[in-house]
Amino acid sequence: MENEFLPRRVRIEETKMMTSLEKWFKLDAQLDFKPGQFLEISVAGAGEAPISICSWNGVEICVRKVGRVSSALHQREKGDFIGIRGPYGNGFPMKEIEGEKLILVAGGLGMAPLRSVLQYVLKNRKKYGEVTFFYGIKCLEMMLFRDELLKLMEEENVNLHIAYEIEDEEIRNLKKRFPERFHKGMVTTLFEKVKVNTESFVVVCGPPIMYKFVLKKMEELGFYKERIYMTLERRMKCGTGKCRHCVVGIGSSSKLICRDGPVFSAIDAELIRELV
Amino acid sequence: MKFLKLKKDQIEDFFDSIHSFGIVYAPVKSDGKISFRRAQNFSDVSLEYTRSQIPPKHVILPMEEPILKFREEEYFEVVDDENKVLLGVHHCDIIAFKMLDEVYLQPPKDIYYHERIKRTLIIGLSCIPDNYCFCKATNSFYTSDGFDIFLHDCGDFYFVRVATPRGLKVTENSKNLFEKVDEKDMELFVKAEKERFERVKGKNLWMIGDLIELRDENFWKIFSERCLNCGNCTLVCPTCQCFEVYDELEEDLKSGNRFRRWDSCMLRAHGLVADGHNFRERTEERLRNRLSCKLGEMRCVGCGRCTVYCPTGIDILEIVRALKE
Amino acid sequence: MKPKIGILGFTGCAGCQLMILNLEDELLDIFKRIKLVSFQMASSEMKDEKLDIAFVEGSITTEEQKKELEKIRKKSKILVAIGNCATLGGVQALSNGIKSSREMMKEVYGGEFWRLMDSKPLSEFVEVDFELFGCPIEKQEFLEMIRFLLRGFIPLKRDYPVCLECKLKDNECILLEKRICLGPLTVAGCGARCPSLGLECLGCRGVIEGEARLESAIKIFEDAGVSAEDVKKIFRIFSANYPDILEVKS
Repeated sequence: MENEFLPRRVRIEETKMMTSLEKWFKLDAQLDFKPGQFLEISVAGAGEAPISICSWNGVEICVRKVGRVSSALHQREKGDFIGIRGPYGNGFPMKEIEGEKLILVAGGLGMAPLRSVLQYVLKNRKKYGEVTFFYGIKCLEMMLFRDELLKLMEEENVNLHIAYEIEDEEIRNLKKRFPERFHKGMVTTLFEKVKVNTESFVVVCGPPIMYKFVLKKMEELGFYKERIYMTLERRMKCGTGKCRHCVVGIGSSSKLICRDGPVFSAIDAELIRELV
Repeated sequence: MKFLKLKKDQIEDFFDSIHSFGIVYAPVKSDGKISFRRAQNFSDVSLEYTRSQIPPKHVILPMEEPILKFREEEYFEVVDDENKVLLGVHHCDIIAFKMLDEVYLQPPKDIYYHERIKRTLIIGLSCIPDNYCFCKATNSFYTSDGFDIFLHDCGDFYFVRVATPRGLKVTENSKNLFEKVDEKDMELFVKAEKERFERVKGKNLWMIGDLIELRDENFWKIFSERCLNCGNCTLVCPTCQCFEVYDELEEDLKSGNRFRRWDSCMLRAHGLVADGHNFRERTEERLRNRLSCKLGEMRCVGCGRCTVYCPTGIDILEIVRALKE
Repeated sequence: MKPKIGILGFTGCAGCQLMILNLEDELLDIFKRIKLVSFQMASSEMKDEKLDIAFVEGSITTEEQKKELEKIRKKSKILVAIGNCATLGGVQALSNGIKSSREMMKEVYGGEFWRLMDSKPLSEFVEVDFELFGCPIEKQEFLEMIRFLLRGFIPLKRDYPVCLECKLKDNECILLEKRICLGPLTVAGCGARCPSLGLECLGCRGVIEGEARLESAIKIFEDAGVSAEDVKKIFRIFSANYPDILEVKS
């Protein structure tokens, strides 16, 4: 019988430090997955942690060094092996939103799962309408996939805008290079600076605190709740709905993020208490 | 269902006979406390008991167990293939297993749980309720499945229900111990069950899930004020399913074991995520989540353990009463 | 290159170092993987080499010790405080905030023969990377920790109470007998050593920071017939440097 807890051993094909805290890994793995799904990543001896897939072309993860497993992962280099299980979770409804306009809203490390959406959309560009990408960062140093994103700014495919909190010389230079693309403030300020179509589908990922602000902003602007999707984070230990660490909500409306999520709509947020 | 009769003076022989099926776990009394443990001799077994502190869940889902062995980045599974007999399980604890089945056997199956439960012969036993029991309210007063054999204490004999082919085989292996039931035995069985029914308090949990959701923080604060975040209520619960997973290294620093251990939603780490944010930071949030899981989602069998073993006397029925007020 | 390890001690009974020595079988295996630079108890020789990991026992009670500790910090990549004295100040902190060491010494010995400060944990003076609690430390926990450190992993940090380990041993709860047990407030890792023997937990592993429900506990202990003052005396034994408890209003 298939043992869901048994990790598959995969080789690390490539690594790169993205920022002083985040490291990117390309894994030598064949996986059938959807943007927004996550993997349980193992480093034998350090343990296991849920990490979302940050790619669509191949299997890549972007890991922030915060705990035991992530620190151990950071020690791993090209050619080393790690364990993976999954993919788990529902993922974003990419098929259902075909033909629609999209706005992707990422905050900090929330960039990782949204990069998977972005790559998917770019791969299937014709299937989607206008694509806007809002990315909120603290400072340029914390910007993930910087080269890729700056390259994207030069193209017409995606309307990419960055909100930053701390301005420095480099940002000032980038502002000159890409006028109207860098804005000071939180990610929500981009909704004021950039004209958006409120009939768009919106895909959000960021730290827990960000959802409240983003949802509030979108409600003010008149977006449709059923068109807003977000991906949530919890401490999923099993990924299969057993360990119950990721329970949200109360009573019969409660959900397990690993099984019923991690992607939920703003309608779910209304029905499931404390989802965001 | 097949109905049989087992005279009490035959129970020891029956006990001896079930060892041929597997290792026997039964209620054993030590220092006045009942625990499900390996029982070799019938003299160790206490069939007359109200509740064990730790439910028999641990026989199928050990408190702490290695689930994988690893060497470098290669993993190997560790699966228990021991045949077991779980003797003397009350209705509520059997129904609790059925609730755990729903979780652990739902695809993808948890093979550790599955391998154990399928190799375990479950022999139920009628109970001696006390004032903490509220199994009528949770619809777990009586069960018609989830066991192989069920023994109902009817004074000088056990009224026996056999529910599975496996159970039938076990009774047929000791044919000489069992008798056919007649009308009088049936009457005594019904009488015993009626008496047991009378002993359990009636409670109505109507709309309790919504009430749990409707009550605000201040409500939960009142009841969580005495809570010490010790987790005992969940560790003695027969339906609690949460577990923690962690690795341990061996001397060579390259191999080791991945363990899982019972966890509790009343403890800090349960709602914690990587960046330090805690979704259930405060005790009142944890208490409400526990009540929601148990009574909101109806994963409670009314065994009373969480109240009996709470070191500070937090009473689940008192919360229920207040919820409805 | 084998990592260089130092095992050093300040004020305390040296019981934690003894626990390490008592590891015998496992110790030989560990020693194969490391270079032991200083082990105060096993050898009197003190070397002034750089350390990969310093395990430091004992509390700081003199200016000289403070300076010595700062030196150890400077020469060590990882500094681990081991035992109640090093992590919380030890039993010798009992009089902190009540009487100065000068007064104490006068009362006991009739004069101040040497200069003592209030007994304080290492973290009061230097950055401590990890803490191993207990009086004394647990052998298993030490082994677990050193294996993680040698492998380059962050050791497990327990933030759950002794009760979890106690219940998983199927022990009956001491609080239910109306006896004062600090288990629910205390960091696990000892396998509920004392309650398993029917003894009350005295909290030698320290309070779970930010998690222990001190006010509730004091109220419940009072209900059991023990005054808040008496409860605080019990806390003082191992946690005199933990002001949160002592300041809880009753």
